[in-house]
Amino acid sequence: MIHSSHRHTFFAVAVTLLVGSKLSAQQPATIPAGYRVETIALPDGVAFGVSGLSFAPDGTLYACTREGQVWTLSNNEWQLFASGLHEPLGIYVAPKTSKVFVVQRPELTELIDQNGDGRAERFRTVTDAWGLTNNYHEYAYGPVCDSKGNFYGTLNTTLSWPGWAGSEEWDVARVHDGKMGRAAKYRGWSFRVTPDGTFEPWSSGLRSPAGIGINAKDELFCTDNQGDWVATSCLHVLGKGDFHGHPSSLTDHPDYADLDLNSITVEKYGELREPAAVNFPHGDLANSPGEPIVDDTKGKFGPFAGQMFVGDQTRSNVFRVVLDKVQGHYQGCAINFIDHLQSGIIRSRFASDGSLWVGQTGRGWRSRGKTTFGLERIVWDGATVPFAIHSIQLTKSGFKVRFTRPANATIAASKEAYKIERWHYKHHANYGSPKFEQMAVPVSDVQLSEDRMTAHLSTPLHAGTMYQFNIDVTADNDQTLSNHVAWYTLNRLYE
Amino acid sequence: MRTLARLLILTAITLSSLTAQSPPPGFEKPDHDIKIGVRSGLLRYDTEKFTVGAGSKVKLTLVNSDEMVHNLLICRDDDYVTATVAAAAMMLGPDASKTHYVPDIPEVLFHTKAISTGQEDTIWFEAPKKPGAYPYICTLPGHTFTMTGVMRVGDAAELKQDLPIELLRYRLYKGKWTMLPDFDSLPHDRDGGIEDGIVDLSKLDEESNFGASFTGIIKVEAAGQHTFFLNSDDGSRLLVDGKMVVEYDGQHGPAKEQKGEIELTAGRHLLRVDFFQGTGGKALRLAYAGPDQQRRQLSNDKNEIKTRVTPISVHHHPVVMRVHVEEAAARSIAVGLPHGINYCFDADACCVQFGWGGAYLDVGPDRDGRGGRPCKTLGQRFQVGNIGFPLRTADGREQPSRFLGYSTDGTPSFTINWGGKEVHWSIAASKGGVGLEYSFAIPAAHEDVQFVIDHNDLKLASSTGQWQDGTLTVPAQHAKKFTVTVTTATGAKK
Repeated sequence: MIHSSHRHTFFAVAVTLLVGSKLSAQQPATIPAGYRVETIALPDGVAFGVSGLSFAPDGTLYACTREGQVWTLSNNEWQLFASGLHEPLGIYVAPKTSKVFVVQRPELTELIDQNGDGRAERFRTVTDAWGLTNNYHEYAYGPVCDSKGNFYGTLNTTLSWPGWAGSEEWDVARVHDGKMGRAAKYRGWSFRVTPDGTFEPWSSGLRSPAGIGINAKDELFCTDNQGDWVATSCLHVLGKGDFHGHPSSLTDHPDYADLDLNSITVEKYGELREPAAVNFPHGDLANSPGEPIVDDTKGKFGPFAGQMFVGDQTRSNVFRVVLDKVQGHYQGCAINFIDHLQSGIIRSRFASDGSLWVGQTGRGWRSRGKTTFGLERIVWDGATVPFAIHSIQLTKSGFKVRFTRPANATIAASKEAYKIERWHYKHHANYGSPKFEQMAVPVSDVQLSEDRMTAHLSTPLHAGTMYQFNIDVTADNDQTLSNHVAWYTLNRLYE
Repeated sequence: MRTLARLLILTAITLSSLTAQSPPPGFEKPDHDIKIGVRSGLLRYDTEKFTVGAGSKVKLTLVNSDEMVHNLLICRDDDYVTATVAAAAMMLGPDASKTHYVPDIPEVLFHTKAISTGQEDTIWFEAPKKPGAYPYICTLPGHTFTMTGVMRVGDAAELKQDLPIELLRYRLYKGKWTMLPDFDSLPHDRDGGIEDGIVDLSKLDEESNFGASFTGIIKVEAAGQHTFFLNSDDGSRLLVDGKMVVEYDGQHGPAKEQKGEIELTAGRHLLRVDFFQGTGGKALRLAYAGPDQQRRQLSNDKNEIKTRVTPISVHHHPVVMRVHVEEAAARSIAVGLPHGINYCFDADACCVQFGWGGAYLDVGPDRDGRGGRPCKTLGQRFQVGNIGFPLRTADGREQPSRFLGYSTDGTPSFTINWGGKEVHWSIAASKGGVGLEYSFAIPAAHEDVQFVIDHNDLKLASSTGQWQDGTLTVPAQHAKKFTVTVTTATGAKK
């Protein structure tokens, strides 16, 4: 009796029928030709700050929200799957078993619908091995899963500076008067959880690593947000044992157990760190990037297969990252893609039809755009190839700029079409870094390939430098570039 | 669902207007016309105190804008009377709704009907002739802890003397300031008296670029340490007998209530509040509390920005949320049970930290702005003798406990790995009194198990075993399944 009335309540409350769920959205100011944005209708009257997206093998979308709920979308119908979670910031539905996992503030949890009523009623703790205080900045992000069933995630540092935190209780392990510290174990680390639930710290030195990503080769990446010890927002490669540059996390590193972290110089931390693979110039491209997602659609999403897409929580844009492996290390370029959507973005996922679903939450850091939360879908029409900078790669004598379609040969072969600037950032405890020694870089030669899709530029090269490309080239059909600025992070040169 | 609810509301409104109540003979012109509403989702009346003259004619209307059913019972002015009335109401059993949850006992003087969303009920009565404080409560299950108020009854002369601030006056100054000026060295624009003794910026009729100095007298009942509370937009300071007690100077919103303390003798003391307003929002809120004085508001709320509250309501099923909770562990799980009993579980230490009676949670601090700040429990906390995970081996040894998760199928149940054995601990409201009922299931138990607790101020009971102070020894044959009931010995405070 009680049980049946419970079910009745559940269905009445949880199911919202959607009629014509995909509403056409006002199109963003910058969007490449052939792409369009659709807004997805959300359950009525629900605060829906999307903080995680994952597709189940049957195509059902699982979305978790900062308000602690998990909803499913199937056949245009939203259903509440779970509630009462502590700010989950990522969800993963296993492709073979359809098991559902979330990383919430206190733990990695499996959500189990034991009685098959479409709603989880068992919350299994997979691991809660990381430390947690009630400091609002101690976010936990993830999970992604590798081919062997290991989970990975990242842990935010603590907001420790009393001037911002409003209390001295979290003022632990601030180094050289930075703003963030470590009030609990493994703050500022990435971690691995083996299939049997064993927690292993993976890499250290992160600050506010709001998104973790993985590619088909099980290589791990995460973004980090500009702030103390992070000159500008960036993409890290997460190698086991790496130190990414923010020192507070070293408190939990066995090699630093007995050391005063303030006795190590800023310069030394600079030498110890593995620099970010790709920097995102603060204010130009990104302010608070979310997770990197690899385009594994094999061309269903347009000419960028294999590249990464990243959304930004403040600027509400989506940009591309193209990696370039030099001397065995990733570096590469970043290019804006769509600017901007209706609200801030930290999570996105490719659907099986090749569209990119973009989860949005503007809460907290004042996103651009008209809504405080939402869900949109970016769709490529399957035919129109936009004229875009496909990628920029380093060569021994300069850079190789590749376009998505043949360029106007006269313009693309002229040196004047390529305005290049360079600068470098400082790794220090200050909040962000200005651009140092900003200067123009001369282009001494341009060679256009026979297919008119690749321009080989000869330029002077300096390691440890950002290169900004402002490219004024049109396509052979007179299309202009959808985004004409790209940034290349040059950490290493070819020998 | 929503349409249905709207229909119900409409029906209720229609009904209540059809059956409009008319006053009994002699009450056509009552001395007092009191309206009491309900703060939605908070299990609080919107008026928690009102004053009437002894023997006066009172018209009282309860307006229910909440989602739950409520009533209002005015009780005798005995000590612990609300506990007596609440307990009697709880004994009414399944037919309670027929009598509007009102027990037929002499402690209940006057009462409304139990009314649902959108309804109102008016009663007329002659106030008691004996001056005093007559508490009123809602006796719907679980509501008694927080839905309370006091009807003060006094003779006309006494009522006048009970002004929050006697001889309250103001001086108004015009000017632009970023910090409080020395008003005494400036010419004032105008001045006047405030008869009802309540500081209220709306009475000054100014919007921006002005200052005011309020002076008056407060009557202290009992000597001792007094706390004064001050909040303002923009700056303010509060002095008692010329001594600075609280200062909140500078340009700001009413972000955080400030407080200060001062030792006062019984009797009358001079109060002074200086205030200035630049542009934008304006607010001035002051209150005080002392040894024999519950917090008393000395200002009117009209000008103030309301503190935003985002309550989560509990209806027929438990609500389980993992959130940061004020003054609780970081890995807290807040559980709201039907009937107004709630508790906070610690998923780190595997124990119940405390319980509370009343409404469930204000999640505003977690949701507003950047969020992540601890949620507020809505109601009165009670202790449950928490000393960490409560189970011990037969010989009293602690064993490591590790949290494995929880289930929300029926009564919330927590699973813990305790020294290699799985323990399922489900937690419900106790069937009597204010407290919790723990049901333990340890399928692999084959020895005696001990349950330990800090038993001070608690009433303890169990399905099995022997108690010695705070230690229950559960014999092996019952260790697979047993219950422990933990209730507060004193109940929630009056």
